[in-house]
Amino acid sequence: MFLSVDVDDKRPLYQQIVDGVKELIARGDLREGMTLPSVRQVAGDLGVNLNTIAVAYRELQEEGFLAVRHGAGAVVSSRRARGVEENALRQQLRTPLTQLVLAGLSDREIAAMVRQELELLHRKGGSS
Amino acid sequence: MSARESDLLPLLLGSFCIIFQLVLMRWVFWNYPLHHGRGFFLGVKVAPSFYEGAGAQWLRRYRTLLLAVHAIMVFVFIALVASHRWNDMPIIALVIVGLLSAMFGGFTLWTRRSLGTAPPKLSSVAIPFETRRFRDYVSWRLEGLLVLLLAACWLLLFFQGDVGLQWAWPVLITYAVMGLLPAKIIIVHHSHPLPPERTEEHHRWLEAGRRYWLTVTELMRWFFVVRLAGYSVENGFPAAKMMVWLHWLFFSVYIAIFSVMLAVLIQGSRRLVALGRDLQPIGSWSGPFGPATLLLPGWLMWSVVYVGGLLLLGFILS
Repeated sequence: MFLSVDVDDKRPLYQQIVDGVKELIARGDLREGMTLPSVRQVAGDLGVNLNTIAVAYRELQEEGFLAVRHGAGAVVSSRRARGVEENALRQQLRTPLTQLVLAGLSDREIAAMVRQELELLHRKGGSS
Repeated sequence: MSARESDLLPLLLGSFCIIFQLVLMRWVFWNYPLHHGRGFFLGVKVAPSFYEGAGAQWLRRYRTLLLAVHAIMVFVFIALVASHRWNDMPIIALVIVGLLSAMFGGFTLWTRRSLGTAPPKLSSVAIPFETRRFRDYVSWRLEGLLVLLLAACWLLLFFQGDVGLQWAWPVLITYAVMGLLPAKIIIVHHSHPLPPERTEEHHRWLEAGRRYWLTVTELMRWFFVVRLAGYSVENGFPAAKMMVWLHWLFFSVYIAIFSVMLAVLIQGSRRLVALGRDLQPIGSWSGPFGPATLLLPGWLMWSVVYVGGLLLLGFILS
């Protein structure tokens, strides 16, 4: 399983790492109880500052995906985000859906696209 | 044991080292610049027609240098055998290792400077998101056994050793064994961001290389330890010097470890070449957050300290 980052991406690096780890969890590549590589290892492998990775891990911990256990490092604690309400999720979904509507896609095309992305997410998880 | 028999062991051991080095030269180093296919020379990306023009000359230079170093090695070995200067063998072996390392390092740097265009810069990279701990790559039981054996050898030599014991051997071997531990740590911890294309293949190649070098390093350490054990028994128990079978027993163990090392080197090298064929050498690109590092700074620093320390100790103690 790999974590990708791109300097041309508009998101800050720590956010790319947060999103990347969430994707690995969503796919099932990272399962509950699995240990994540240490902050030092990820920072060393990417060649970035330790703080960048530490901030990303802290955010994942605050969202309830990770738990930091003494001596064991960071482990995946849950596949579900903590304290996220349906309304908030709907709000997040609305932005990309609006963009797709404005791009001229029909409801049917948007639904197919969402379905394909979901299938891709599950297939990647199953194949790894 | 007669003087003639006592000469036979270092002669056989030395001959085996020479054969080992020559096999290594042929199977590992001869085509080393081409290990990533004809699109590269020593990790530097070159034009497809490179080997029809200047590349042939670069390859010839490389091989001439390789042959020259090995010719010196064989010549010095013959001179040592002719003059019966067995005690100088380890020092000369270290000088040869130093010479080979300097040759490789120097030639690689020269190549980089002469051929190296700016390495490609990747804006997107991937890293394997799996824990990579030192304990996953080493056996602590074997590490413990190795340290115990070293300690036992030292205790034996300290309390039972001859008056005229040459301490240079145990000091050098202990340094050689323990100095390879940081090398193992560097091998495990070193990594490089991978390209977004063929990430899995690059990762497999990096991991295979890591395991290959760890195995070779471990075998080298065990070879040294067994050599020290043999020396300690010979010098710790006066009666052991008379036991010809014991000398041959130790010699058989050296040969066995050497043979395994040889097999691992050749097989592993062929496997790495097969895995890395047409892949960009790791470190030949610069990532978004770091430069291209074909010669790892940590590894380079360790090599200088390790080989330099060995040579220094060798000269001080000889």
